Amino acid sequence: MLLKVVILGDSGVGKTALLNQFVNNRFSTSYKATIGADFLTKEAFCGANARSVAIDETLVTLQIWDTAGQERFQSLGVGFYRGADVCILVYDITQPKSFENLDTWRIEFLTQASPSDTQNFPFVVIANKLDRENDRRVATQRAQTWCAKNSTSILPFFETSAKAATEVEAAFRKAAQLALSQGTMQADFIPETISFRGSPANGDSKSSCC
Amino acid sequence: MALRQSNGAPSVEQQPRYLAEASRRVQEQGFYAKKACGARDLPGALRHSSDMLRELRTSLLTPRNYYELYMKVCDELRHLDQFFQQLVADGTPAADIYERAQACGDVLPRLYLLITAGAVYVKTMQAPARDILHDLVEMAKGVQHPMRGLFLRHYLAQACKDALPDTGSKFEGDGGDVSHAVDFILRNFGETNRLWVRMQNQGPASQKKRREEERKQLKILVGTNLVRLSQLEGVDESRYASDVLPPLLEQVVNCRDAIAQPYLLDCIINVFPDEFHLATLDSFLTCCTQLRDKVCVRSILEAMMRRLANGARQEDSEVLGPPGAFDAFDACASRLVEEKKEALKVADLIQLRAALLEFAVECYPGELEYVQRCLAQTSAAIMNDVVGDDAMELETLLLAPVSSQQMTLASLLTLDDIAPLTRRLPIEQRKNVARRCLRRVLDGDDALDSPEAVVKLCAILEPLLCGDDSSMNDEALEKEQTSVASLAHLCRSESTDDVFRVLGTLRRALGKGGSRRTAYTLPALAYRGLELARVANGPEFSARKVFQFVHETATALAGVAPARALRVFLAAALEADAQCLGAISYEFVSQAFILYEDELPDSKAQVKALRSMVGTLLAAENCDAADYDALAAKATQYAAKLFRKPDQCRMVAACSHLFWPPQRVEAVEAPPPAPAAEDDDAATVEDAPPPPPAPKKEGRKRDPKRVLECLQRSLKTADACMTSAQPPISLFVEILDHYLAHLEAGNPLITPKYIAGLVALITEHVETMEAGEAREAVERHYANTRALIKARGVIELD
Ligand SMILES: Nc1nc2c(ncn2[C@@H]2O[C@H](COP(=O)(O)OP(=O)(O)OP(=O)(O)O)[C@@H](O)[C@H]2O)c(=O)[nH]1
Ligand SMILES: [Mg+2]
Repeated sequence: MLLKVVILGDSGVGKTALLNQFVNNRFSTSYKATIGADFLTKEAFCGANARSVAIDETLVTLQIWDTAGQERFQSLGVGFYRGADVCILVYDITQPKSFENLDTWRIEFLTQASPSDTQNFPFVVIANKLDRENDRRVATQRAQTWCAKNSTSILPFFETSAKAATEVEAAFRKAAQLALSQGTMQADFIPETISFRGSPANGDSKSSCC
Repeated sequence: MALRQSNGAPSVEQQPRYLAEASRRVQEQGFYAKKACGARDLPGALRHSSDMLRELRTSLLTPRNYYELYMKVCDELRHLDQFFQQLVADGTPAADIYERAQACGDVLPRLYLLITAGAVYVKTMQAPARDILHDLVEMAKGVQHPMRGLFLRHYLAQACKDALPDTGSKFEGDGGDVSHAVDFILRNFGETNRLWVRMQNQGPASQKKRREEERKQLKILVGTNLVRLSQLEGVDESRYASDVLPPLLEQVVNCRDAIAQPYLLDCIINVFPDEFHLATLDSFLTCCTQLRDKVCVRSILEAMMRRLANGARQEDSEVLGPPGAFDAFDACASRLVEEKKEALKVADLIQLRAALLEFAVECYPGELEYVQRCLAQTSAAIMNDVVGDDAMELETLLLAPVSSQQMTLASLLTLDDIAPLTRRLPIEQRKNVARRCLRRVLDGDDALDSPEAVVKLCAILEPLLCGDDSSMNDEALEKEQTSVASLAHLCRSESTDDVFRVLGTLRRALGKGGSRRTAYTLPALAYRGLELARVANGPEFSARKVFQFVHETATALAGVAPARALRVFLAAALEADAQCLGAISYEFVSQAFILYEDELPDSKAQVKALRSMVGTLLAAENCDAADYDALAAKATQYAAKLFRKPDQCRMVAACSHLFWPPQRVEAVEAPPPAPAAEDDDAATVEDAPPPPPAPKKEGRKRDPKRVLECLQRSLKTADACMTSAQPPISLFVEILDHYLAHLEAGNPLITPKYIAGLVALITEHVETMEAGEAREAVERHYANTRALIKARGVIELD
């Protein structure tokens, strides 16, 4: 089963780093901006129920979409939000601005992805760069309050370090589990009339110059 | 049906419909393709997929909507990819699939299928990566329609990202090496960029604006190629410098496109790591001088410098500027200024210098000369006062050195251009620079150790130190001036003489602040002076001199904040007393008394001041006996003259203790425990280790009779209050406490008889009180007092 995960947040909060840590167990200190959107896949065993024992676990393929935090590197819009099963919001504990922007990211996601149930769409919040505790400028309490305010149920919150590989696995697992338990899998396309030959394409061949 | 508007642009209103229809067809064909895959029907899967892909030949969609459709197609193609892999795993040669894909008639669908098959071909290791990749990137030239071509090439880069013979990948070796991976991406990038640039010149001139808009949306398709390059493991600093950057920059310069040039450079700056940039700065900057005139080179330089400065700011970063990098930027900036003199606005110019300055401050913390150079260049460029954008940029520029963590106070003060530059700003911005500077200096906690340093710092802080303060409310002013006052604590040095000079200079600077400011700043100076007086040992300035400074400061303060000045005088009196400087101490106390008589605004302030005065007198152990008697008598007079009766009553009772002062240690009859605290104090006055000889002076006298008089007077006043609406019974309990204290202190005139009388009186009064909070409070207090009486066995209680 394929689960689509979208990871959002300001530039430099460590989205790519988290993903790299989760998928490749690697971390690099140098910053390389993401342009547009790109995904990595990872297979994982995962249960839909938090209490479930191994028996319930299914093998899922996580398709995790890493996105550009800088707006100008997202010039084609965010069409890839559509069909997401879960969204991970990331901020950097040393950058209050990145925390304040979580609202914007969340609202933009809900508007653009327009999931069927906006109220209960699953989000996971990640406070990254925990290894820089000394430079912390966003108190844990503040983030927890935000999570409580923005969700009818509990909004899972993780403090992670992509650098030290702290809690990264747990955060992604939680995201996968939420996506699975949501059961928001889109219904497969069913054609209106079943024909034995596929209907001929009617692309606008006149304007083609291929 | 008019599918296109007459001008050839995709119709805006129809977009949702076009997209919905195309998406539906994609889903439908995708569904059949998936079914065919499930049935392991390769021809069917290819046929339906190619029908689906034909939707991408549309010209009806805007770039964003085309992107959406493209994403849907890619989702479907992933099933095909898995199907191909499965077939190969089950024994079908990948070459067969590759061949079959080539058979599709239409160019665009064929190429998407070929790419999908080609990626599987490589990933299943049945063909050398380098050959297939080369094939694909060449064949993709078959699509020359810009938008379709751009997306096709995006798909190519995306589908093959895990099929590159990168260093460490399984394709390395027979499949080629990283140079082939680089070559593949560079080729794809080159073609992508060419298509993108060509868009500009296609179609009627009237559509130029719209085309530019579309191009700007499509740009990330070009940029992602650069991301791929930066992700290659095998591209290290040296390969980047020799094989990657030069062809990229060549593209940038040769495409001669005013939209592509700044965008590509922006991408290069952002996707490659700092170390790479530092290693190749010269080529990058050379390229910056070869761009189209319309391109804003300033923002490119700025972006690069800001990135490097940011990198250097990171924790445990090694991105400090290499020698020469600053000069390279500086030269490039100067050349730019020289060449584009007319086109550059003052704001642009300042912005450029600001970026350079920030770069210098963060990447070369040791090289003050760089910072100085930037400031000097800025000064030279600004002839008049600035406003608006110019002012905003200048403010940003000044904040860089002024608020940087990298700058020590000493370094900051060598920057002589800062103060004059701040004067070019409108007052509010000037204040902001000063505030940030002050905060940084206080946080940094570096010592202000010379009068020159004070003068220089105060020149920057000037708008906080003097001038019109009428626009500030009291609260804001208090906050600000409390910070300013904290400067007094930075006046530190090995030599107490130096501290004294520094403090004096600071006092002169702050003294110009006007009454609202000095009310907050002078106390801090005076208290810092008292700290200094305790340790002053310089050849030039003795403790006496320092006390004189404190005296002057407090006197100046008396005019603006008498109550605060009074406290300073009292604190000074105690300090002088501790150093056995009796005359000086007496002078300070007298000043406090004068202030009390002449200046205090109301009775509340008087009560508060009087409490401090009594406390100070009691603590002044070394006070001359005659002086002490006079002051004690005076204080008691003040107490008796207070405006409110209850205040009179309380303060007169408090004054009773003045006539039974604690005795100096040697005057007490019984040998006391070792008075450690006192020895310590004395030891700081002179540095001699043994206990100093006690001053051979007559100690303060005790007078039991005066004590009793005070208490009785206090009682009488309390009695007089009893006629008021709410008789203050609590006063009697308080007086009872004083009696008890004196009884314990051994005053022979205070006998248990008094206690018994008072107890009877209070018990009776309490009984008559109305139930309520007041009564409860009194009862609580009284119960405590009674418990004490009982514990000490003073009298029998019922
Ligand atoms: N100390 C520390 N640094 C981190 C951590 N995570 C990321 N970083 C660093 O932060 C910088 C930015 O990380 P990225 O993962 O590239 O940020 P991003 O969110 O993907 O940024 P965009 O792609 O621009 O949206 C890099 O220099 C990382 O090395 C972390 O947990 N601890
Ligand atoms: Mg990223």
